[in-house]
Amino acid sequence: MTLWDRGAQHERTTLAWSRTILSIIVAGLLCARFAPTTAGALLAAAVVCGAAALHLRRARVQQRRRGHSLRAGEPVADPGSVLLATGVTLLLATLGVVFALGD
Amino acid sequence: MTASDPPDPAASGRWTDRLLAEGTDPDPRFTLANERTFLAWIRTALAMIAGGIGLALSGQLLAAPLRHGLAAGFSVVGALIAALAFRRWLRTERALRRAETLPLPTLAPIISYGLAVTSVALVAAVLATR
Repeated sequence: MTLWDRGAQHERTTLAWSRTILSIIVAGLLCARFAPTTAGALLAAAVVCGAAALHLRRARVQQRRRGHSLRAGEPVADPGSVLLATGVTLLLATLGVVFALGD
Repeated sequence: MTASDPPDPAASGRWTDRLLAEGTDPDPRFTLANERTFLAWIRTALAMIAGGIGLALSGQLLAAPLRHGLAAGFSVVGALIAALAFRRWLRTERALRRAETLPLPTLAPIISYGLAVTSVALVAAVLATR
């Protein structure tokens, strides 16, 4: 396998995705544990599920892409994952507002 | 772009492909760097939201009206950062595809000034209600 990029961009991007998604999952789990209401706990569970789905999606992208797309010059942008990450983060923010005002 | 007649993403394909229909595929390294920048903004948003949620669940750490307002404020700012991060990712990706100048980072200085002012105000509020 030839090295397409000596800057290890692909690896750094994968790690950035991992730590971002892991942060969301941890935040969601903590919220599910400490939510003052059942509705809040369910919302937190939705955040965790969304982040887990995002992790699965990223794993699939990585597998499909492994050394193939990048060398072939195919597009690497993944708007679906970016949108899902934004959505899950917005859901977590909603949870924060619900906790702040419902408490 | 390959020689074998690529399908037109604007006509066919999923709706996510239509977001980036114009221009040509840029150097993958730039796309990946853009993605990492987006993720860094998302983590910034997460930090704000985590601060808000932590404050909301903190019990009697701060007096009630200040606590509720701050917790909601942090969460809303976090949501704003996440939404603007997506907007910026899309604008940058489109600029890359059209080989145009990248959009200016307008959010970064606002966040810096905002955080500085807010932290000073917070210290004053905490000391006043202590």
